[in-house]
Amino acid sequence: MDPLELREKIDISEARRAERKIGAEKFGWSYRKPPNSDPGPIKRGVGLAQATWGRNMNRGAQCEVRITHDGSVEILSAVQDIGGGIKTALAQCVAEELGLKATDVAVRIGDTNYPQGCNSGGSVTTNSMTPVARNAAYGVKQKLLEQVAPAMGVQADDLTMADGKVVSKSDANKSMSFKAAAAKLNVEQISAQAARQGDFPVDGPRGQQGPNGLGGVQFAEVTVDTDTGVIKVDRVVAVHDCGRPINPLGLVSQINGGVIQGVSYALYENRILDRQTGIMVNPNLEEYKIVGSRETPKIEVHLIEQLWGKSSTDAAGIGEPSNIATAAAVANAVYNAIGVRIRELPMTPAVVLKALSEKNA
Amino acid sequence: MKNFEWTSASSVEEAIKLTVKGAAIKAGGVDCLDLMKEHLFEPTRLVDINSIKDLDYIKDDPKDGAKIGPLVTIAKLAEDPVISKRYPLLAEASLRIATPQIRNMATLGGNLLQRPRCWYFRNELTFCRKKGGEKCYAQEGENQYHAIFGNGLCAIVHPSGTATALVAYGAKLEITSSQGKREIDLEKFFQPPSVDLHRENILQPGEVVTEIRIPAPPDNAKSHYIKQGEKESFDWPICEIACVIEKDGDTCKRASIVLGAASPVPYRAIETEKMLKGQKIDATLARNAAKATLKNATPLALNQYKVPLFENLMTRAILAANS
Repeated sequence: MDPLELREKIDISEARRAERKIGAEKFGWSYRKPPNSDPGPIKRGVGLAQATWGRNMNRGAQCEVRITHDGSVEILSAVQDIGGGIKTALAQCVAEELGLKATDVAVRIGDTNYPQGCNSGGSVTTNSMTPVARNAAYGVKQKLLEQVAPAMGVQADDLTMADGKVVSKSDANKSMSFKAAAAKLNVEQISAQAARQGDFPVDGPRGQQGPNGLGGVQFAEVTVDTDTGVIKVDRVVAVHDCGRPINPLGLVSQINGGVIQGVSYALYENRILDRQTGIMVNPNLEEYKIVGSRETPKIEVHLIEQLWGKSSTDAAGIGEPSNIATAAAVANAVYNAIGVRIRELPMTPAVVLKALSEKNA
Repeated sequence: MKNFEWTSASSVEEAIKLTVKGAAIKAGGVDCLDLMKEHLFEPTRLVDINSIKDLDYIKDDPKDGAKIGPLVTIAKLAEDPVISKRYPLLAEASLRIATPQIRNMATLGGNLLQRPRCWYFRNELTFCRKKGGEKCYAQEGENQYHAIFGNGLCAIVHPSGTATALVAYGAKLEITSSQGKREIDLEKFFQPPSVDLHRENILQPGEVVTEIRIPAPPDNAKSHYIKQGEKESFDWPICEIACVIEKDGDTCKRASIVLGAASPVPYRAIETEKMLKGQKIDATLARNAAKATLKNATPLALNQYKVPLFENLMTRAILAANS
């Protein structure tokens, strides 16, 4: 049975169904040939695999947003950025709420003197932090509007913030720049805090939201040289959902990273322990092999938005889900190329040549 | 790393004088530094020879062949138009070595003299036979990257890519000492563990490699080089082939085929060369000739895949050089 058809029959996720449809079309799945179709030593193959991951968040996540008399805006949280790009996402969420540009917001993170952040693990950061950023920004915005409403001759709930201005919803002529509004503060600084605790309901003990989580579908195309056992991943199409994408450029980049690391797991990475002494014999980046620039496939990413109404941003993580399907998709593509199942990672030339010789024996 | 003294030599003669007991010569310093960090090599003095003028030349004569200074960098060899045109095996081998950063620092002399990469030799926790210990850990251990020929005592593979190419060309080395200069075939310069377990070549303390000489290639010779790694970017080979086929009309007048990543020294595929000599090469002959050499392989538990790998790639290299 066609692997895509099988999943249509057994997978209940609507999101995966949509992702399979987009991926199959962009990838050209219909051109798939039966296993081991190429006559020469160089064989091509395609494969697909799916990933699911919890829509996880950390209920301890908190932040504080401050507006100062001089018009400066800060967000503070102990959360750290290990490369996922949460600094940018926090600035975006605060800026959007206050009608400013992301570059107008100073992001202060990575210091435990700030309000508690979340851990980096389980792909929780965006889901945990962006709602509190938005909520705290909303809170401090209300305080600012209450202070400037009398001077503008309107009620606070008639005011909104957009394009760097405070504007009356009922009379567009009544407006004031954000900086002028901040200068009207009767104190040096106002602030508001927000926390995920008790924010939106969760479905699991560790903060999971939703029964089927989020995930994606990846399609891989490989070339296997049956003379050398060397596998080359030529192309990966990755279709993912993670709630509302906050920073699409950063999101695509993280999926690229997940795919690249997935190729590395599939073909290279191996902690080799000496069977006699227990010593790790490859404890350096010369012998512990990771994917390099020449091994990086062409990667095409497509995103779908699956909104659940589970937080004020409805954003979710992508770090791990982007990495789960790759090695399996590559292994399935290798099977399609050579007609032999390989059930061992990494799929090194030694492993591939052994599998081929067992098939021919 | 232990403390050491740093000196610079302004001439080969001075370098030899400065290389007293416990001292070592340093060119690019790439392998030197690695060995010192792992406590595999603890010189009391390093004699830097980068300060010697005129050791980084490439000269070529139509009749006499090439003369290359030992301080020529691998990067320079990879991009030199004369080397690329007349000695493509050397240019291709150089281009495939390590990373651009390392190629910019590493020298031809250092590449030929580097110590093996065997992970038991390199790990200071395993006191292997090569380091004076009792056993070769690779024999019963993790030997997927080890030798398939001549591996009984010590299963290292020779690490130098340029050596594989240069031995295929029949290159020679000029060695200078306080006694004067001598010339030796590169192939005889390297020595297997059965001759000396602790050193991979005959160079003695107080001796310096001062020139690499490659005979002029015959007009009707063609060559093909293959380095096969598990990956393409920054990896050591699991199989390396340097193949020269000299033709007389349709037949092979002489074949020179050298394998890297196969044995403790660059390994000449003598059986293959014999079978090709005087024959018209086709796909069947190429494969049978490759098989003839691999018949002598003595693979270990985890490197048996190298036997078909070498057979297949040697066949490819012969056919490519013959075409």
